[in-house]
Amino acid sequence: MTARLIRMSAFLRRELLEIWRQPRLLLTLVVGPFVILGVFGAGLRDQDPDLTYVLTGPAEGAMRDLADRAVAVMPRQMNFGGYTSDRDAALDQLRQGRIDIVVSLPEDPQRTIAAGGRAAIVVHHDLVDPIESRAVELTSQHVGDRVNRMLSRQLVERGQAGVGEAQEQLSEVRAAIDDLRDAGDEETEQARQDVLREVQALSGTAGRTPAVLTPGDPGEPSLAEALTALEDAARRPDDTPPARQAAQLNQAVDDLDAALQRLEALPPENIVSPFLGIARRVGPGGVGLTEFYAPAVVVVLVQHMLVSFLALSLVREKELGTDDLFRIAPLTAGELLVGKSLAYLLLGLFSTVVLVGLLVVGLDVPLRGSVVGLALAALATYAAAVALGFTLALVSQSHSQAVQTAMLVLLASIFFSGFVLSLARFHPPLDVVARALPATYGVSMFRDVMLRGRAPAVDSLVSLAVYAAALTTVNWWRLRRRFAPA
Amino acid sequence: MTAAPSSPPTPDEALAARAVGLTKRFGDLVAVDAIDLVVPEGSIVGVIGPSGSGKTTTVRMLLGVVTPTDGLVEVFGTPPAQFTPQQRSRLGYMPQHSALYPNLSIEENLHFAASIYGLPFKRRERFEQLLTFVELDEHRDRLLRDASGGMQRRVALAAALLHDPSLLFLDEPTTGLDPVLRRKLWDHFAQLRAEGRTVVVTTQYVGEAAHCDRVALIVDGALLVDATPDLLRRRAFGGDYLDVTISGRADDDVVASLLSIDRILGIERMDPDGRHLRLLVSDAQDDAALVRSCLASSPVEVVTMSRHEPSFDDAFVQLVAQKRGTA
Repeated sequence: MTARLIRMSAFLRRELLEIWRQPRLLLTLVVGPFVILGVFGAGLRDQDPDLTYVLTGPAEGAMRDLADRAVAVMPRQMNFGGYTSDRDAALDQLRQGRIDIVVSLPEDPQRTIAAGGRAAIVVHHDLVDPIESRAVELTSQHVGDRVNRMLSRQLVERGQAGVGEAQEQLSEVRAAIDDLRDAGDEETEQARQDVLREVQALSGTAGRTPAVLTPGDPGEPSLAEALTALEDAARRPDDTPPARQAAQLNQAVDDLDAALQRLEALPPENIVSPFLGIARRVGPGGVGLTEFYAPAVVVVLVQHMLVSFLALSLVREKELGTDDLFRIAPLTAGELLVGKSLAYLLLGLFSTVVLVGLLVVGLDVPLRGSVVGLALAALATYAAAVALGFTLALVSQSHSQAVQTAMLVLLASIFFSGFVLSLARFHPPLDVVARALPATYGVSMFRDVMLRGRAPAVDSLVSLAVYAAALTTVNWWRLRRRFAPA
Repeated sequence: MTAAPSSPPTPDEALAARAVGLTKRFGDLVAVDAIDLVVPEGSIVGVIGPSGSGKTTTVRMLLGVVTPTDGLVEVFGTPPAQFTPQQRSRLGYMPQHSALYPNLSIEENLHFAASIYGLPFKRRERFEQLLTFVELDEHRDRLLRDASGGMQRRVALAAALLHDPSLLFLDEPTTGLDPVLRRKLWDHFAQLRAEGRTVVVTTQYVGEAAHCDRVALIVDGALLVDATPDLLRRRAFGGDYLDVTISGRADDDVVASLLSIDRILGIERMDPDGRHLRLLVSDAQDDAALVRSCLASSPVEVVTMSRHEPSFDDAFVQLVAQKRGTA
């Protein structure tokens, strides 16, 4: 048993020594990603890039006036580059790259709307980056919404102007109610008719206000409710005593007056857009772009390091001729496999400690979960990565083949591990590619631990353990065959 | 393949390894062609031949790294495929190329080599012995990549010896070394033999056959000779040479009388006045008296007589020419 441990330790010590003897390589591996992330974080702008746009539309008329006002509601990062009625010239400018966007207003929107259609504001661009293109599409929707809201606001403002007229009519209603209260028996019927007429006139005016959009305060009737109550009180049966009916009418008028005052005080913007969509993440703290990418960079980079080193290590033994020595010595495939694997597992864990430490201290990347959780995630991920690296080593016949296969794993990890794009964006069959990469599980667990403060997912840990065990068994079997005489 | 001329080991010689009809083919290429080989215990066996002749493949088959296409191999009486860990521990191998790690120091490389044989970590005394033996005790901390070619060969030798093997295979250990260093290494090998180890050395320097107890000469994958160095030379030239200086001119009568003796196989006049003769005899030691006796009855007398030993290079050229039918 002791001899077995000594033979395993031969590889553990030798692999670590060889890496230690290459300080530049170590520096590149550990400090490189930190510097790249630092530059990324420092260089990344919080806001979208500035875009210069030109508005095109009719030379004069209502749309020309609208264009002037539309400029004021454009997003902040969009710089106005002028208005022209020559849309083709503006599009030429766009193709030549002199401007970024052309916003084309409809020539005759009234006709389109009158015909039952919707007038389109078209945003032209020449972007090939799908993410930036998507941003422009969202901007075009935003521009349409802004213009629509601007027009709606004008309507609301006009409606609010009708509140003053309604309030003036309230005085007429109050006077009619006073007459009803003071009327003798013979005058009562006439007074009721007068009150009803005044109330109907008031209803007409109040109905033109944006009353339906103004809910009442808690415990107080809305404008619509107050108006209905007033109309009901004005239509009381003939046998209702005038004084009692007058009191009910006065109460309804007071409620209506209060509702009108509240309506008048409301900002038009709130009436046009009474609902506000707000996204809130459950969990501690915010997550910026640097914070989001940092855990994934650690996982993908360390995985690449382990896979590359291991893929090259067996080829190197072959090139040096040392694998002949291994075949002759009383050394088993298992001892070699375990010795080398342990060396690289330790290297991976060491690199992670240094990298995560630098990220937390140097770039303020959060570590909200437990260190033990992160260590478990790292251990499971790197055990699988080491097994994968060994597999590549066993199929690679040359140095260049080992490098190429390791690069393929890196490329696949960047695209399929959730590093850049969410896994939910892929069709189900491609899950197989993602599941074949240790980084897929690692990225998810590192983000959970570092950004969400959660423990690593048990199913990911189990998957990685099964992955590592299965590949290691296959590797052991293949290595034994390789150790057999040629 | 006809059996190569060989001298069998004496019956009481124990064998460390033997091969019978050892053959290795790589596709259509016959790398090793039905070689018979014996490695007596406690001897130095030289496997000699030009580059690409099949020496390394032969050694790798003996070690079990390569499976023979045909034939029998036994090392310690066991086919290599059935080596036990204990038997493996008795084998030492110094490959043709460094097979060590350039970024490790000499001592670290030795630690690695010791560890893969499971040697306990208390190795200092053994290291001291070996580093002194290969004269590297003052360079132990030097990185292998900074060591000279000669140093690297000696480190490889030390690495092969660390676990105290009884049978050592050294694949071209002297290639690329200067003559002084080569001589030093052969002195080391002789010392190992003196310690009771068996050493199998491959080399393309034919002259190094002189250091061996047995020589297996391999050309184009075939064994030309497996014999002692003397026998190899005899096989090459058909006998031994005796250089004789006589008191007068060796006229035709003198030459005829010498050639009348069966054991005198040929005569060459070595100078214009005919006083210096080179005689090819069956056995120099046995036939010297015959020559003296024959000349005593002639008009000339023997002034000097000595054995002439052609170089192993000449012997090698002669044997290769014989094999290829150009002699």
